[in-house]
Amino acid sequence: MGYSSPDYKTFAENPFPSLGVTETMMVNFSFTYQVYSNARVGFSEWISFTSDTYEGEDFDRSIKYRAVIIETYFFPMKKLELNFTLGPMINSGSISLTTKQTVDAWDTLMDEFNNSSIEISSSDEMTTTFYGVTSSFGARFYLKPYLAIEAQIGFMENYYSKDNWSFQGKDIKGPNIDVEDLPLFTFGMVYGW
Amino acid sequence: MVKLLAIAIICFSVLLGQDTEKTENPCQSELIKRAKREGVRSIKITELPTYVIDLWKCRKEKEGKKTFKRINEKTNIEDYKSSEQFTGFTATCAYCSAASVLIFYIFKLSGN
Repeated sequence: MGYSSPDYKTFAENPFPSLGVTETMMVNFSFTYQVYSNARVGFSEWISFTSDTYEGEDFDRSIKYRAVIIETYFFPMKKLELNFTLGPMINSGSISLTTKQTVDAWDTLMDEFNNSSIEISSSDEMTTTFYGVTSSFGARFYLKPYLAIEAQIGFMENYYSKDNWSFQGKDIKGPNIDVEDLPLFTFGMVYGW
Repeated sequence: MVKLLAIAIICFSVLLGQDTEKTENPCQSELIKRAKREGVRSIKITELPTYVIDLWKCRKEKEGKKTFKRINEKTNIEDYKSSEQFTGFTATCAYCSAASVLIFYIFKLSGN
């Protein structure tokens, strides 16, 4: 789990659904591979996600913070590891809306086969990509050689612009959110070889 | 379909024809002995399935628990010895990371 404090300004207002726990608590997972006696490289992702209704239609909003990380570490004592992480980030945001509507042409075709009119579901999403960097340090305690608990403190520095969204291949404006300099606290279990 | 069946029969025959390494005591298998000697990280990822099967069999043996404990202790010692201090470029990465986090929080807490 990752804790941070982004300011989702636009999303905090009506008629958007309430942000809920995923505003500050994000799901985080990482994969790393040891490449040196004191270093691992890998991939890490934090996900902030909301799924609710907007104006009565199905609404999904997700912001994924993704980092390619290099993690260096040492053991000050047996079973206890101190680690330091650095990495560039390629983040993505998406907002999707699924609407139900009737289409005349479909209604006519349905009538030909003696059906009543049918609501058609239509879904599309607007997306953005923005870059950033992340850094953190923390401690990992090995309960078993393959199982550990970990806590980290760090930050994300993101370069988000509301003008860089796209929808159906067209550039559009997106929501006003503040994710520029985010403190980051991560707690988790580590399983590996 | 007939081709697939033929391939399956051939593969099955080859597998049956192989000599499997039989040890009286699964806790004395080559992989477990190596893990006891050099820690669990000495087991390669390709050897992992065999090692897990050996461990599974070993758990039923008298000295199973003792073997597990010894492997875990040896792994902890080996991890500690191999990564007791930074080597090469890793120290630079750690200093950069620690310094950037500290600077971030100093600025954050000072309100800038």
